[in-house]
Amino acid sequence: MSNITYASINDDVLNSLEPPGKAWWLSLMVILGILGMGVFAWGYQIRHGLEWSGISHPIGWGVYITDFVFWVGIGHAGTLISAVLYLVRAPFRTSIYRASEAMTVFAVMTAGLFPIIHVGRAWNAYWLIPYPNQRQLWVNFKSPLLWDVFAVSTYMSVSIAFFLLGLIPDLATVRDESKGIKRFLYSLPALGFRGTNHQWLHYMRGYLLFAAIATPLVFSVHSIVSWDFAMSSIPGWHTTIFAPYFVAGAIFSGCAMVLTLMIPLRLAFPGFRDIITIKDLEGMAKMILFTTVIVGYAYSIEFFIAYYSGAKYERALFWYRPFGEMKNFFWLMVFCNVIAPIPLWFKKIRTNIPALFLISILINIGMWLERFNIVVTSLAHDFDPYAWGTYTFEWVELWITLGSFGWFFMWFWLFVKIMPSLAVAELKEALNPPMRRAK
Amino acid sequence: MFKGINRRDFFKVAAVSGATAAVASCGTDPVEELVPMLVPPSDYVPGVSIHFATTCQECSSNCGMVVRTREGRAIKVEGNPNHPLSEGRLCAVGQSTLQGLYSPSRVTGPKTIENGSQTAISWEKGKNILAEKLVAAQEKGSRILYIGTPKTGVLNQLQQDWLEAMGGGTAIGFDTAPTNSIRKANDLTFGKAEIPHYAIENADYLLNFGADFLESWLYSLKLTRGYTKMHAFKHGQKGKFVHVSPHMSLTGSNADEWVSCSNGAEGEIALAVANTLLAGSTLPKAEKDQLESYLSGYSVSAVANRTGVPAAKIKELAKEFGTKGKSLALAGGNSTASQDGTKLQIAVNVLNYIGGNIGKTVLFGADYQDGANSIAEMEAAIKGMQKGQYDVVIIENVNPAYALPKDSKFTEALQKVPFVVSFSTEADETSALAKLHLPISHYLESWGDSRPRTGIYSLQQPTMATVPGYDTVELGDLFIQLAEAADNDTFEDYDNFQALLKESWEDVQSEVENSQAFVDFWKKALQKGGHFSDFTTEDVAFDTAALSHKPGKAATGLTLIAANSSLHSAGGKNGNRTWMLEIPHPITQIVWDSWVEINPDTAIKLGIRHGDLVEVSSPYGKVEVAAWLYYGIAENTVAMPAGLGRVVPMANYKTSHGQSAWIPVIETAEESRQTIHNVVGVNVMELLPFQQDGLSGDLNFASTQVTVKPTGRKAYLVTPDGQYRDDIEALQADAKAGMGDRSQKGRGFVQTASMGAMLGLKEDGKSGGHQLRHRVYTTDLEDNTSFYETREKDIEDAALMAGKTNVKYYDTYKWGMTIDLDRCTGCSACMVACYAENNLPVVGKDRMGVGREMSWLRVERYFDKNKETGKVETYFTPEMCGQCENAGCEPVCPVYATYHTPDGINAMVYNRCVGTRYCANNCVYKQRRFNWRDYEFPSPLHLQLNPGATVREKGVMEKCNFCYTRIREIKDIAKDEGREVYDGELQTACQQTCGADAITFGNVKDSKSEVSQIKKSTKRGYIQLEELAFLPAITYLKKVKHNNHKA
Repeated sequence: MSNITYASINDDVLNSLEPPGKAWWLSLMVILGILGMGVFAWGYQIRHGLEWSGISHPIGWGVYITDFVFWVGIGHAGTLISAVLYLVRAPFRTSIYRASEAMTVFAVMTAGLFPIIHVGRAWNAYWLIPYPNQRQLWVNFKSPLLWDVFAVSTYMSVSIAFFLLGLIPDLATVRDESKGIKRFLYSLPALGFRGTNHQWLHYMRGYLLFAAIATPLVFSVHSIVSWDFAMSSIPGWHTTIFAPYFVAGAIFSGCAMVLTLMIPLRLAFPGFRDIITIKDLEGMAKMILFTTVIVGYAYSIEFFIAYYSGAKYERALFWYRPFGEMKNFFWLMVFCNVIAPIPLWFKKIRTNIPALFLISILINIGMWLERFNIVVTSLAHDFDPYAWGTYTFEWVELWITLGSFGWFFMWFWLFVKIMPSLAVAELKEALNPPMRRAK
Repeated sequence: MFKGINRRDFFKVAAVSGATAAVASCGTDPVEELVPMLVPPSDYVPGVSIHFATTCQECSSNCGMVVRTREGRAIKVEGNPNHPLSEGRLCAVGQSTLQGLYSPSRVTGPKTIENGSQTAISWEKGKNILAEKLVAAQEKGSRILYIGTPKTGVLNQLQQDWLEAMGGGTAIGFDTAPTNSIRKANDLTFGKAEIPHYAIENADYLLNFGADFLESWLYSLKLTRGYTKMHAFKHGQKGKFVHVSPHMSLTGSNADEWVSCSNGAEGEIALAVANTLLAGSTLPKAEKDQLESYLSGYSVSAVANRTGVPAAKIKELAKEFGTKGKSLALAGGNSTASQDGTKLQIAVNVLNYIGGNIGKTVLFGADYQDGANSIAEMEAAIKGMQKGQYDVVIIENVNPAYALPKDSKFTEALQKVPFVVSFSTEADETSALAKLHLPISHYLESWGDSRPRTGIYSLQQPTMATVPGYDTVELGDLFIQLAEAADNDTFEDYDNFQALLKESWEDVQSEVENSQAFVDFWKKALQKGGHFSDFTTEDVAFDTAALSHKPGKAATGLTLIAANSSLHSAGGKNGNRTWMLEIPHPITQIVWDSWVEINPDTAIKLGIRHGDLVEVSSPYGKVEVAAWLYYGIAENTVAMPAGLGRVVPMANYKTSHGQSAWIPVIETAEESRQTIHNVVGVNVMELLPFQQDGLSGDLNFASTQVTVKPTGRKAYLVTPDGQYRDDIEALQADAKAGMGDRSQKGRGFVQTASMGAMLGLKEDGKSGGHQLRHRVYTTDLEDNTSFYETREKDIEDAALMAGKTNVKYYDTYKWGMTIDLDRCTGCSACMVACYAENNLPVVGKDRMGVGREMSWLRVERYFDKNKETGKVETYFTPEMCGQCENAGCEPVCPVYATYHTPDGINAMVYNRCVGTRYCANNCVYKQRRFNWRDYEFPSPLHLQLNPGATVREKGVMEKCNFCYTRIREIKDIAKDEGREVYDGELQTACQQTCGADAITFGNVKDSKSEVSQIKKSTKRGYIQLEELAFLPAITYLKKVKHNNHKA
């Protein structure tokens, strides 16, 4: 890091906030186009009902819940990196945590849409929130779906607050470097931060406190999401392993998504290459390695328990997943989540950027499929053989799913141009203070 | 100042007028009166249903029917408990009659049809046009051909008198059902040309040669009732039923044993059985000798050689037929719908005679009437039309252009007739060929009567005014008015048909020797649905002359059977009713299509796999249908359903079937409201020859030689069952034939017990699975049966904690049900009743193909291979929501949209439902249905909707609620009268219609109620998926099997 100085960090990061070029606009147009299709599809669904989703009888949850769990999972890595790794003082966190946090916020914003999208009467979705009303209607606190509402909304508010808190010193830096209306606009979220000793002291305390609050949420939110399934009675869902399994899976997919975003970010802003080092990416790859082992273990132990329990419904389901008509989804998932990360054991691969990018994409696909497998195959093949079904994709859900990527990337595209996507102040902390050197 | 309009004003005006236009353009539905009567009767109360007794005219059985009307509209039909034929029940077809009444294919009023263009005319004009032709015909004499529905009552007399008055002609009651062979054979054998009463209820052993008596043959509902009386397990007794036929069908799937034979071999097998029994019979010597010489060619070994049925099997049949107590042999349906049908009937008559069954289980004197003429007479009429013998042909509610084989050239003959007029209520293939269409009212809007059997005078009264928007005249009135228009004075004494009917019922009164004042007699008949008495059995003598007819030989080659079922019959009358297409065929579970049933062994030889599109061709035509493989058909036989291939009016739901999932499918609001007319399935008549049984003149349905070959394409075959899925326990998976596995996979939805077990030879017949009662743990609770408190205790405790003390669950009522699987025949009438009662929408083939069916009740069908015998056994189980005490759906709903009512119903609050579908996922019985869209009820079907039940909006969940609208209605009545609901006063729609009495429903808190009695006393009771402890309120009773083989 010898060639990095306080000034070069400032320049590199602030450079990313320069007015966007053609490539940015063009890609944003594509993103908005896809988002537009998604919005149109959702509008059609609201008007017409869920007819054009592949959800059916008996498969009452399909692509939407898959998307929901997928995005909540993506939303895990940011807070994990910013809060948990902060508490354990992991050095590779510093360069990537800001963008990861942004990813978390946007992913949870995306995830939060899906429960509303998937319900039959989206216009009544607010009934899931307990609010005083004249009809004295209340919500059912026994329902895991309600726990979900609380878990996800809590996670979302804390993530946003933590994200904004972390941004304060950097926004102050941007404020100081800009003029006119821009300066005024950045001064508002900077909350008058001037970098005094006193402010830094309080700021660091507050940051630590938030990190401590956010840490248990990282584990609670996906545990609770997993209970949507684990608390029910369906074979393939009704299992105690789900909470740790889901959390590990979420971190796994989140880290993969961080790689998927960081690698192009380095490409787009050459100044970042010095800051987001190969070593940082390798750190992510190690996280992936750790979690892929857990995920792989969870997959196999599910099969073992199904066999060992002797329950015929469990056995039938776990026979169906790899050998039934939806076996392609299963084997693709196993390939993406268990086989594809194996090369990461080699340092050569871990430090090879194209390989990392490819593997991260595969993991993203694999983790989507994992949720799809859990949600769909379990419902497709439960107790009553007469009521078994299969899943057929329909256009609305496909476009809404694509649209959700449009929605996520739209925010990310705006983010890299509006906010410093690397943590300027923290990066500076890691440098040696600029000393006058003896010639 | 600037005068005129400025910008602000312009916007104001534009906004107001725009809003007005928007509001005005929203109201597109026609205004209808809530109460359609201008001056309602004084005792009329909106919201309270009124019931009318009438007679079902769907088939010639003429069962009694009670029509429930609300606000002047018929909304539900049920069986008439006073009527001896239906005994308060109704079949699937009877239940669907409402879709005939409110058919979107109904003709709105009189019209002329010329070169395909239709012009609406007034009744006055229509009648005058026809009267003119009639007068012309009258002058020439005998120039009228009347092809109408079979009639047996006053209308039949009126029809004859009217035809006479119009100068005479030919009248044909058109029905393709092969019943004349029975009459003819009985005439030959016993000197009595009648359809006797087959008293299955009196028999202990039933040997059936192919008659589909549980589906469509003769008075099938009455036979079903007789069959369940004989065959259902009761007091340690159970009759035995053996089905001998090339086609198992629904009826044979209920048999204790299905003996597969070649098409046409039934007669020889019957005679081989008779031959074996002859030696032991007590017949007079002379008769015995004659019979002996007649039967000499039918020794067991010879017949076994010729038919391929093992000799041991025939001997076993003979032994059981002779020793099981009272026996009965039947033949009919497909086995008699051949060129040798009458001869088979004679053979079976001989068997019954030797078995001593005449006068015991075959009762003459009943004289069942169906009013139909034979197909031979129809053929003569077709020849007459071709020769120009008729000037006017009248078609009334029959569809020979569809129902006769194309080979009959009926259509061509009809086109040669100068003037064809249709009286049909609905537009169909035949009425399209008419020049004038004068639509008559539906029978639920008309007067009439039927005499289906000696002693039954069944009255038919209008249950409602004509469906709004339809300008029709009832048939009786039309006859009278036409006579008047033709200046004929035959009926001038009668203002209308009602007067004529009433007068002729004075004759009925004297016939039945009733001494009341006629007013009282008439009133009582209207209330009860007619006048009913028993028939007296008449003795018959055996006529040995019949022995000159010997049964035909077994067919060779691949033979096609056109099979009727409980949902469809060859007339095609209900082939355009969406309920009957949406409800899966009980055996194949196929919806919205035709198929061909092939034996897997044959299919493999032909290179056909299950689900392939195959070409079936006969010398008369060819069709492409889906191959449906199973072992319920003989190797040299294939079967296709009759009665399909009609134009079906259906809501215009768009489909994505067959296109990429990425391409948007857009359906505009206007398109959603349209009704489309598509042909569903194929008409098997395109393959059949126009051949008749030489003796009786019945149509030959079942001996056409066909070839079947693969087309190389897959068929688009939709079944709602998930049984073709791969599974770890694929007990009968057949890789070569591609049939998949249709068994229960050991999940115990249908459980069986053997007779031996039931008689106490073994502990109550529990077989396999988890047995809670044998567990080794103890619990803290008093009764030590569960770890959990009872539901009522749970709720009361919770209420106490919330500071409420007056919460009482299951006080007075807790609704429960038992379903006896030993009685259920799988006919699916309950499903139709459920569709009618609960406003269930019809979704169509494409949406069913992706699991969107809305049925609250389904009859699951499983084929389980018996582990010991290797034979495939068919099981049916009606599955509906069990209103679980410890339900999976209730706790997972985040908004309490589903909750447990104090009387034990797992209620859905549609208004509160957000549509998360978590409840459906967590229901282990998979009973919940989701509204994927706003469903359409093509006009006028929306008038059939039950006002008591909500029509659900898109995005909400729904499911069976034990007909809560009925519970509510009866509970309210009981409350008004200050009493509790009587046991039996309340029936669910499925229970009400069940001909087999398989379903019992009632209050389980009342220890005297039938349902509690059954639950308490039965040794056969079990709960499906009991180990999951959902505590459903439905107890299933095991099917009882004669043999001691474990399933």
